[in-house]
Amino acid sequence: MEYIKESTGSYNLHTIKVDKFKNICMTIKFKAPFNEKEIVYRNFLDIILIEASKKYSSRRLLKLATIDLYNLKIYSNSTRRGKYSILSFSTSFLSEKYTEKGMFSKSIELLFELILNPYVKNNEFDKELFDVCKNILRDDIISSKDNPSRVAVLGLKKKMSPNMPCSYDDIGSLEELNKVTPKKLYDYYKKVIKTNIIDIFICGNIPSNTSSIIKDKFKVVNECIKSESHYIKESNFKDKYSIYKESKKVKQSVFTLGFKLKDMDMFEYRYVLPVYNYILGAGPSSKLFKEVREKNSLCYSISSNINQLDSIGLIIAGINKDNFDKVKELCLKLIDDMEKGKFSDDDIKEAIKCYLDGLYSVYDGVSSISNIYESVEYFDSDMPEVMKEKVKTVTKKMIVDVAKKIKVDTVFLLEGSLDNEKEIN
Amino acid sequence: MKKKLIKGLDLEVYSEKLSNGLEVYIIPFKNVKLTYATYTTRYGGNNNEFIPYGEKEMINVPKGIAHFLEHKMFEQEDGSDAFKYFNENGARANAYTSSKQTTYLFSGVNEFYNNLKHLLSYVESPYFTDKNVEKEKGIIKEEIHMGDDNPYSRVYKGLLFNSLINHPMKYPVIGTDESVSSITKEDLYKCYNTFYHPSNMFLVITGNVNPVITIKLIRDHENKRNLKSKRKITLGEYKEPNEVFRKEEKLKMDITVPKIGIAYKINIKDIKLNKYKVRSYILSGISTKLDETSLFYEKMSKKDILTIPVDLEGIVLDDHIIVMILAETNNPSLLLKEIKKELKDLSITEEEHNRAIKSSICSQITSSDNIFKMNSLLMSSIINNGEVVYNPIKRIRKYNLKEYKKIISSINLDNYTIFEIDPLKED
Repeated sequence: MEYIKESTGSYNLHTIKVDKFKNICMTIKFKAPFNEKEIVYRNFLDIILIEASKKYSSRRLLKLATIDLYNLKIYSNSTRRGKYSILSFSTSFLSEKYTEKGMFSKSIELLFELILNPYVKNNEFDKELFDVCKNILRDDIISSKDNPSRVAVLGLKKKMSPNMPCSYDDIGSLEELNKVTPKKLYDYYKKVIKTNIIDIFICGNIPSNTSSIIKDKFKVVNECIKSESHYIKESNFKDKYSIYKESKKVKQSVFTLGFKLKDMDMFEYRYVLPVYNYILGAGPSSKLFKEVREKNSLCYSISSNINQLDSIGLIIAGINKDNFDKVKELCLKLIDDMEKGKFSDDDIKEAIKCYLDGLYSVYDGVSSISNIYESVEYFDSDMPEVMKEKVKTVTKKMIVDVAKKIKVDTVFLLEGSLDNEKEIN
Repeated sequence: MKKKLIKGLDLEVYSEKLSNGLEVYIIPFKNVKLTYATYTTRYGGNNNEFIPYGEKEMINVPKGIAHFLEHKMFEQEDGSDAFKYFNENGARANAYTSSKQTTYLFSGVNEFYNNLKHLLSYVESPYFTDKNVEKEKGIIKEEIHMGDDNPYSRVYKGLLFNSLINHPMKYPVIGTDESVSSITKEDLYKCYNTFYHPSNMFLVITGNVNPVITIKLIRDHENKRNLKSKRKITLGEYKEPNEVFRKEEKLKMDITVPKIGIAYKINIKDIKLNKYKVRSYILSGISTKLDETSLFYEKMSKKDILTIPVDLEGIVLDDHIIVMILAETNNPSLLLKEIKKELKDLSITEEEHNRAIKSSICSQITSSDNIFKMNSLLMSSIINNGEVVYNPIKRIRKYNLKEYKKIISSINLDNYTIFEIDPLKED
């Protein structure tokens, strides 16, 4: 495997040559500091840029072109990672060994066409295309309310960290969507191309002249702003957690418990916290799974997860509302047990083994290899070989110290108000 | 042990049928560190009526019992759970139950042989008590309620319930609160002893694996069990009428965008062709008419009737194929009208046919880079066709327009049921 990073003056190009796979993947990322007013614009671009282009003026024509290119796939997403919003456009396609000569260039050209030649008329996005994409985003926004877990997690974050980036719905609001026009969206697109930090990652059995092909075909003028850290530090901590309840007409209630991370260093974020989280609630041998589900039969699903970039974490479980107090008390007790060191050396050993096992297989596919270099670029992560050594140094004392920096903040219950026996016809 | 190349995918399958009937299939991947193993019994939510092993009378067991059994297999006699061993070795384990199969699985990088022995051991060592059976009921009921709150799952289940009259697939694999409450440890043992015999099971292993050592390990392990091969399992038989149980049903849920599904119940008894091939032809034709490459989808999206393409699902039964079309739309009645209109003519051009073939072949090659997808493809092939397909690309190329035309001219899309979920409006 050979990795080369180059700067073209407008973007960073990361080429990763690895011969053992049939697929090649390429991702183009646009990164900008998070701004809640831009959520809907970025989500709109996420849809409209892969819906059509000047050359392929509808999804139908574009889809037909992808099949001609041996069923090439195109993906996009718009996410927030800590302080930054990231718009990603990816393509994956078969290497020429399984298709025909010339397909490599044609395949990468398609994604460049979509990004560099949007379907624009008179300095604004084509109105018909704009409306189609606006409808898609509108339905995404309104149907996101249909998912009880999503509603509960957002409800928790709004109460726990008001006005912090995590408290904004990452899909946007109808109110903001209705303010977007084809002209404003095109202006925003130009701003993205000009001011966002751009990285291109390409991984797979790529030709030796990949770099020059890309530099020749992907030409943009960009200000090349320097990136800062993605990590957000929490500063508001409560002495006593708060409880909130809202209701929804569903059968099952969703229990969430949010906590904040106080004053942790990078080693704790990257190595101690994952071990802590594994023991607390990241799998079927976790404390939460064993106690709340297996021993007390209070739920089917329960897990904890931590977002180091936002300095928060949460526990989520689907429960019967009558068991709310029992579940809450058990979760609080298990968090307290972690602080008191009530876990064994075997628990630590198992957690570290699982962490290591995940690392051993990161070189098993082109996307996951690409992800390694994306993490290094964005979050200054260590390479897997370094991670393997560092995680092995995590001790019980380190985990207890981290547990003391976990501050329970908010318990939020999305209460299912529909009786289990009752149906609405 | 046999070794055979999967042509066009640069992969080899090593296989052996052991003396106790257990089938083993192994595909080594040279380019990965991870290994994925699945251990499957041909027993799922459909098999609620059967003659238990050692008995003579047909019995009916509570619905949802195959899935319940899957949950209980993780509990060991010494009080531990089967996950623990995998976790200690850094592997990830799980299981799932569908209408036709129950599969236990793990994936990991280290300790593969020990993990494999553990997989075999725990799936072969049931331990059910009144107490541990009772304890599981609360957990499974919460799993049922979780599914009940999912509108997509409700449409799917509703379409199956309303399409079918006698076939067990009418009922959800997971069961209901009532059926789960009535399950006993005696029921579980009857199911286990009948369906978890090696002659009804198979192993598929994909990834970083040495086939010679692995098959020897499995052979040695299975020999110690001293079980004889081939045990005949007598299942209940179902005569499924052509008509649907209910033509239409509407439900209200706390959702914002209506969900709709239409299920066509198609009689294929007289089509002299492999049922799964018939399904592929029908789905390919319908997909060509409704997917993102169609003028239909373009029209629907411009009219704001669809914002995402419809989902297609084809379920093969004994004499019927159920084809489901599922969608999210703000105008269910208009969408249904347009779908029915569009599907009145299922003829496709040669260009469209060739495009479908090219797309399928590329999907096969793309999947062959992935140990999970290859394992799953192999499992489906064994469950549905009873064998491994060693030349999938040639098989796809054999699909032809003449055969397609013959099939679509003999199917009838007038027999369907509709299931709709509308938003609950506050009064």
